[in-house]
Amino acid sequence: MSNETTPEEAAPGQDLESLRNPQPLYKMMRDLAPVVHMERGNMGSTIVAKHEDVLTVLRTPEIFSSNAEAVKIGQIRPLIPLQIDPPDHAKYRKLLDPLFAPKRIAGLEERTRLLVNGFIDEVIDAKKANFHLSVAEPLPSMVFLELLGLPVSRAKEFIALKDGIIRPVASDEAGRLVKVNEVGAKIYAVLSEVVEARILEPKNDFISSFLTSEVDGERLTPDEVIDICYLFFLAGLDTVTASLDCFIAYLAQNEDKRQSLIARPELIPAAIEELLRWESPVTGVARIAIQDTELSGCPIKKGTLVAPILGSANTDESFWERANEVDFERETNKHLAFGGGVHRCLGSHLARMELRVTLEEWHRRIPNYQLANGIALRYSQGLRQVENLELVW
Amino acid sequence: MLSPDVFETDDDGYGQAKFLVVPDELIQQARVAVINCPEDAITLINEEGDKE
Repeated sequence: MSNETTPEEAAPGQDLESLRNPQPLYKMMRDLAPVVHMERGNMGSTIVAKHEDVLTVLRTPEIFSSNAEAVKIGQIRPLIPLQIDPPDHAKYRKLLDPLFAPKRIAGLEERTRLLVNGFIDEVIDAKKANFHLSVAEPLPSMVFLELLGLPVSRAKEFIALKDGIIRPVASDEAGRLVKVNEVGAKIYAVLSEVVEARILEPKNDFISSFLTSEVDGERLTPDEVIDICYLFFLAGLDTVTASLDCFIAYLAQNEDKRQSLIARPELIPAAIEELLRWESPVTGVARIAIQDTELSGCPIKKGTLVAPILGSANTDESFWERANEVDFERETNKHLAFGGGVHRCLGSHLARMELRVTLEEWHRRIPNYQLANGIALRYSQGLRQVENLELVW
Repeated sequence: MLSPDVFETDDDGYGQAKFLVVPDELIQQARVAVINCPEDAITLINEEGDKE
């Protein structure tokens, strides 16, 4: 874990209770300092809390760039498509959107259901499990490995590489950069190896599709394919894990809400949207101001790292009716849990399918579960995973 | 999909309206799409040419 502080000396918003239930902290930010610059060690960023301002940041890429300076996760080239700004960005999305379209994702549902049931088989008779370790972590990793056509026998190696980037063991930003660059080099090596193999012998997998896809008569280069896979690897695994952790933790503690899903499984898709809003498993994203600008009257200098807080936008009472009420039958739900604007999550349909299938199968087979006695859930920062999600049933 | 009688998705995954003029019986479904589009990209225009 990069966060080595104890609860007593935690920075604002990093105490266990705020990590568990961040909504009151978000409200405090909106009320007291909706746009605020914070310095932490040698890293400074401007935090944006109001729905209106978050939307402005997400929808104005010509001022708030998503370039490679915004997030440094061991990459040696901009990640595709996240770190490419318009107009080039559209070329990549035109190529990638069809591969992640609902119809393509529907083809993966049966296999995902089988995987989920396999994980449930392993734990159901024990009447207890760590949900994070048994389901939430392995599921997206397996789906990813199979999609990319990587050998499942390498799952552990891949999870270790991913954790090396997301949770490097380092005490400051400089140390973190050294670590993630080391791990990044290993990820590039593995991906290069697989891309080379698929060029020689295409298979029925995403990497082979990427290599033969064309936009405006142009094919992707092998480096571009690697830059897509690198992002997929880091963006598509922990985000789904965090969402599953947050949802099951919520449902384990809210009996009435869980019972409503058991009685009416058709509510699950809407429940997923509402829990994405309420829990906002990805708390925020990062942009760089590429010109001097302002938000809500606060000046922002060119070069500033800007962090729109999705979780705060998703609970802002100036935008939402009954912002603090979790309602699986909300008439409208334009949440920003997948971000927004041109960089809106490419994998949202894949994520939704993984979340829905897991909630359907888990509640079909293990409808009544609760937190293990005396467990104080620990949520990680930024990406809200719950590593000690111990359940009994 | 929230409004399956009003929209379809093409093979590339992009949403397409099925009609230029929404039939009366589907107006309510079209309104659900308008108020739920996360990118505010859907507009319903009345006979006078004004946004609803």
